Amino acid sequence: MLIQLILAVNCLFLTTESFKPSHTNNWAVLVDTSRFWFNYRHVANLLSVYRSVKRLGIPDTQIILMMADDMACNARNPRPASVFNNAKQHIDVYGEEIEVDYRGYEVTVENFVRLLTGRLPAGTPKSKQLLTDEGSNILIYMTGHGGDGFLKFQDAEEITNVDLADAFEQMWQKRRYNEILFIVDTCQAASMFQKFYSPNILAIGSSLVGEDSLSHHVDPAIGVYIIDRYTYFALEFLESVSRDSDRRLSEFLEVCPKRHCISTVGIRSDLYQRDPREVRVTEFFGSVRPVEVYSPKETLLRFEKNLTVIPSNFRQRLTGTALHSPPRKFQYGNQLRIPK
Amino acid sequence: MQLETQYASHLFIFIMLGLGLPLWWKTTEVYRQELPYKDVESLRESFQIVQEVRLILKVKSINGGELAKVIAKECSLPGKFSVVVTPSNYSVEDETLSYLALNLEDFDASLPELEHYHLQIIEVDKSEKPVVLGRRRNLFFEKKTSLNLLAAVIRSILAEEGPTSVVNQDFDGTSDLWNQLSKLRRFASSSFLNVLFTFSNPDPELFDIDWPIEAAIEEYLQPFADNLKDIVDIRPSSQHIYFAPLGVTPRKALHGDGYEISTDLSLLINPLESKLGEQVLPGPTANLVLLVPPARFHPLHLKNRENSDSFIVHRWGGIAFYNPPKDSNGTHWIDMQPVMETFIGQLRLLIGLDIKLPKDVARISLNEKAIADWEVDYLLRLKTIENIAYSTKAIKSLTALLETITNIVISNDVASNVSSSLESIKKSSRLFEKGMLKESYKESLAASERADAAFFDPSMLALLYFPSDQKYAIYVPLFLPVGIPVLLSTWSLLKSFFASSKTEKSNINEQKEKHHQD
Repeated sequence: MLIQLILAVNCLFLTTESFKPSHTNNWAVLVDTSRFWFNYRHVANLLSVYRSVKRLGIPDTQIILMMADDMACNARNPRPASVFNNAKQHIDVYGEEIEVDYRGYEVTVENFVRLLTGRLPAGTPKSKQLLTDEGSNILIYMTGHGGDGFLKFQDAEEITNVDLADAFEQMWQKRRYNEILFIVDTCQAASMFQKFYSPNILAIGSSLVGEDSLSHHVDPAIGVYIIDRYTYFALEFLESVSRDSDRRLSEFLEVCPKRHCISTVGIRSDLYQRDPREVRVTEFFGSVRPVEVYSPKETLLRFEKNLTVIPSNFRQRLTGTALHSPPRKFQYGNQLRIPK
Repeated sequence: MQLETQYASHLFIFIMLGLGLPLWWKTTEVYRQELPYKDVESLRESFQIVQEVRLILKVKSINGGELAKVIAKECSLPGKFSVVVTPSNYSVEDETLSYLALNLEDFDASLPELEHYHLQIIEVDKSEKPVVLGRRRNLFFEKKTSLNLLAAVIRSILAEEGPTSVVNQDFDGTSDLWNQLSKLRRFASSSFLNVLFTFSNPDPELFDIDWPIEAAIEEYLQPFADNLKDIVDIRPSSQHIYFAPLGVTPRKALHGDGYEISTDLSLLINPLESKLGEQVLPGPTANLVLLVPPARFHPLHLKNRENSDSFIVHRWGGIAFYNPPKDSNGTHWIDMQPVMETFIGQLRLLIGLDIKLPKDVARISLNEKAIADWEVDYLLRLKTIENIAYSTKAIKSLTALLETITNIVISNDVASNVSSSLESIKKSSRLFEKGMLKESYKESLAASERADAAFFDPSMLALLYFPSDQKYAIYVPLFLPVGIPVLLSTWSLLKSFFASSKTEKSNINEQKEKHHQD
């Protein structure tokens, strides 16, 4: 989904039908809040969503990945450097190119709220900041252990639904998002979005208050549960989505009915202004980049100096076409300076 | 109850309720500095500043006074722009310059610098189009130029429609498509902009190409950056990246040989982005990438290209294709002139120089300066308005937030930033009304930086996850064990008080009866 325009200096021609000025870029914030080997499934959940989101086009620079523990390089992992979300090990979701922005003990409630509200200390690298603007659609996916009104971070602290609602309100006040799709896969997940009061948020929880979200299956080789039910079926749906799919968000909202998930999927759509039947799944899971062909109608810029400079021993200034110099020899640098 | 016990109970109650409770309340209070709520409320969110614009009109053969009046009337917008046009005739100096000049370009270059006026409107004998815009603050027109065209051009230059109406950061349906597009494309206003020139060569073993980028930056970018130094500080850097794959498979071209890409241009960006490393540069970065296509897709063009094989990515930068010549013995050095013309043209659009001019308007082509003086004024106006709107919105929403969420700490820094941002907004508006563009832009930039510093102050988080219901949940178990005996003794105190008052009453009644009996 992109915007392609032919732009001349004096007049504007629109040659595409879908120029929607509301949504101009996509971000994803994926958070796994639990550590320890027996919470393997949370990391597998997270990485599966990460993989789908990358496959559908969101670049690493626009994904904030928060993983509270390292399963791939865990001493107990029989297949190091790989994380599977299926006992049959179809896909290694850890992949070959992964960029974890907040790792291990950096995943705390404070860092998460600071990330959302933008109040990070000066000197934080850009890869750890959420640099969204008023046209960003953000996908926020959280997984871990939760309860009625809170989500547990790292077995030591919790984030409450009030905090989360306040954080989103601060984001809204600063126009740091256009729309948010908030997915939470924990026990009693629906309690996390009960207190939201900012507009343009569509929230999905894998279970209602009072229900537990269940995991899907155990991998006997590893000895732990390997993926949660909601994420397993959500992934099945996402695997059928490609970059130019026309699948709608309403279909995604119906993924994992009670017979599959055992818990009931909770949805909050009163704050969301559009009809999910008219929203494509790729508007949150894929990436849009406004692009226009640059064609200056007139030669407005006409540089008078005609310059070609070749450094090193061929320093001459010439007019006209580029100059060729003798070939350079590429060779490895002398890395191992052993004296002769 | 015994008297000593009563005194002791009284003392305990006094200490607990009289001293303890207020002390606990005060120490668990959130530190909140006073913010100028009233002043912030009074800031109007819709832009109501009346700009004063001073133009000078130089005529030869027509009636200057009348024309000046008509232009002033046409271009003034009540409540927004008050345009004052001073008519004058050609001075002797002007006549000499006009005679000596070879063409309009020379005339434009030789005219003296304007001091009190924003734009000079000059009548000339003959020009290629009815209205010609110069490189400095000059606009040339002929005797037969229509008045409407003249007024329309002046209105465009002054940014009358469009940027002044896009005040909210939301996309309201009222601002037209051109302005929405322009706003989406340009970087947010800031005091500096990193420009990263990247040369991408996917097959370095097959193509031995290089580009003299340092010299090109010095010769072509530096003049442009110098002209922009009042608006934004451009910080160039450059790099080479290798082995970046092409994100799209191009098709064979329909006409001619080679390959072409027409759709999915945005897919070209992702494989580059992981190698660009623009996150290293702090602050906003414009990425200008010169892409050499892989050897098997040689030569590669954009399907709808007109003058340049390149495209712009909104708020990110631009990508241009470069097809090196097939036969080159030795290192091939790229001719930087067309490349830099493309890049600087894209950079102009990315900082917001997208002025909608009517037809029949010509512009004298720009040399390495790459920006006309009146365009600098246009940018100053545009960005000042943007900054003022942005900081107004920021401090208004901050104060609203802080009033709603009552347990956020408001430190001295935040309070001082809010006040100084408010001051800067007011000062900038006053300067803008007088037409002092550079000074008002500086103030507005300071206002938006302070507003951001206030809104994103890291200290406004400390007690965020400690809402009031949890506060009581923590303190009740601490105070209840101490409180219960005190409560019980209060209860027995009260009981004994009522009991004693009853016995007193009954004593008095007995005495009364005794008296009666006696």
